[in-house]
Amino acid sequence: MPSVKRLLLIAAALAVCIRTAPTAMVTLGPPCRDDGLMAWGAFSTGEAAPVNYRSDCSGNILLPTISNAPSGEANELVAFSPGSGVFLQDGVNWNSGSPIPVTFPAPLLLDLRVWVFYTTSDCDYACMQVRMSNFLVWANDRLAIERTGIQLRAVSADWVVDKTSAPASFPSTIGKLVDFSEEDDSDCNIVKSSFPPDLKTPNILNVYMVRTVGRSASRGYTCVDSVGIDTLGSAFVASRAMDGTMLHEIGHNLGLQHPISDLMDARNFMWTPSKVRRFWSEGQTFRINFSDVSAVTKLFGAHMTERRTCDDHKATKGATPCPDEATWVWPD
Amino acid sequence: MARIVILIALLAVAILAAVLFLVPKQPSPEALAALDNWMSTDCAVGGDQAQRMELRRYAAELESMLIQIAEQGPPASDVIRVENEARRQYSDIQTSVRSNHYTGLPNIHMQMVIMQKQEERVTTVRNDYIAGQRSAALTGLGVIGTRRGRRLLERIAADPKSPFRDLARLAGEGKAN
Repeated sequence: MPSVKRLLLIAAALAVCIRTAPTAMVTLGPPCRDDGLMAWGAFSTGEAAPVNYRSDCSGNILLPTISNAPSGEANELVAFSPGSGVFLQDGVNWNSGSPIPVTFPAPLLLDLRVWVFYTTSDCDYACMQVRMSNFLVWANDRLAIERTGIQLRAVSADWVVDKTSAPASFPSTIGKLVDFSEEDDSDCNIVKSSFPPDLKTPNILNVYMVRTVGRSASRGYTCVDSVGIDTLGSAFVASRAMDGTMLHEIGHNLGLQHPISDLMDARNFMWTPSKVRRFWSEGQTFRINFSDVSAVTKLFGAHMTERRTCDDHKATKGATPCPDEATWVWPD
Repeated sequence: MARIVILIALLAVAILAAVLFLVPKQPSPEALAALDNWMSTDCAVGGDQAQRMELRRYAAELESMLIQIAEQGPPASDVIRVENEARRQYSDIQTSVRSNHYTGLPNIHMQMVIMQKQEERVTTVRNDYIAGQRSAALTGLGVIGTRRGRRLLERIAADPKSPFRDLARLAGEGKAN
C-alpha cells in the first residue's frame, strides 16, 4: 500500500510539472529552409542562455522550457535562415501563450572594392578581375548557406581597381604597402591615418591585393583599431592567398577574432591555421550583425538600434546580451 | 681469413654509417605538426611568434623539407586535393551564376565568370596554391636561418630569372624576426 501511495504522489507531482512547465512557440513565416534560433529567457532546465533550437520544418519551433526572465535580464529571440537577414527581437514575452512570429528580413548588402596593387606573372589584371569575380560568387554562396545575414556586393562596375602602375601622386604608399608588414605598426598606421583618399572608398569594405603579407605570398592581414578589432574596413591579402583567406580577413572586418574555444576547429572560417574553412558559428554570426565593432554597424550603419558591445569571445549577460562566439545551432 | 672477416665487417659498418648519414631522417610527428601549422597559417593577425618558435625548434629536422617545398613545390597529393576542390568550386560557382543566386556582381563580371573554362579556373587556383606554398617555405627558411636555407634564399634572390626572386629576398630579410 505504501508503494501505491508513493506512485500516486509521483504521478501528482508529474502532473503539476507538466501543467506548469513553461513553453513557447515561435512561428517561422516561410516554409522550412533549415531555420534555427537562439533564445534568451528563463529556462526550467537551468541551461545557460541562450538556448538553441532548430526548425522541424513544420514552420514552428517549440521552446519547451522557456519563460520570462526576471526584470533586467534578456528576453530575446534571434533567428537564422539560409539566404535571409538575421531576425532579432528584444523584449519577447515568453509567457503570453501566443505564438511569436518571425519574419526574416532581406540580407544586408555590404559593398566591396578590391584594389589591385600587384599582379603575378601568370595572372594579370584581366585575370585578376575574373579571380575576384569568382571569389565574390563563392563567398556569397558561403555567406548565404551559413545564414550569416549578409551578402557582399561589388560597389560599382569598376569594383576591381588596377593600381599596379602606381600614379605619381601616391607611389610611395603603394610601394610600401605592396609588401605589407605586420611586424611594427608603421603599415597599419598608414592605413589608419595617412591613407590617400584615392586609395580607399569610405564606408565600404576595401580589400587590397598586395605582393606579400608578412613576407609571404599566401597570407592576409587586417589592421586593428584601438579596441583591438578591425573597424577600418581594410583587409590586405597577398597575391597567392586563397579565397578562404580573403573571406577570413573580411571576417576580421566584421568584428571577428580568431576563435579560442575548444568547440571550434579548423573548419571554422576564423580559425587559423586552416586549409578547410567551411562555417561560422551562430555566436560569430550574431557578432557580425550586432556587435558594435563589426563593419555592419560601424561602417554600414545597419542594426544600429540593436547593436551592443560583446566580449571578445565570451557571452555577455544583461538586457542586451551577446552569445559566446562558440554558440552553434548547427554543430554537425 | 680473420683479417678478411674483419675487413668485411668494417666495410659493412662503413656502408651502414654512410646510409644512415645520407638518407634523411624522417622528421618527428611534432616537427611535422610544426611544419603543417606553418604552411597552413594564412593570417598574421595576432602574430605568429609561437609558430616561428616551433619552426626554429625543429629547424634541423625541417630544413630539408622546407628546401624541397621551396624548390619543387608542395607534395603532389596536396596539389591534386586543391585541384579537385577547385573543380568542385568551379561547378558550384557556375551553378550559382546560372541560377537565381545572389552574386553581387555587375553584369560584365558575371559574363566573365560564365565564360571562364573549368581548366582556366583550376590552373589559376593550382598556380596560386603552389606559388603560395613555395613562398611560405621560403619564409620558413628565413625563420629557421640555417646555413643551407640561407644559401638557397641568397641563390634565388640573386637569380634575375626566378619568379621567386623578390620573395626570397624578403624571406632572407626576415631572419631576425
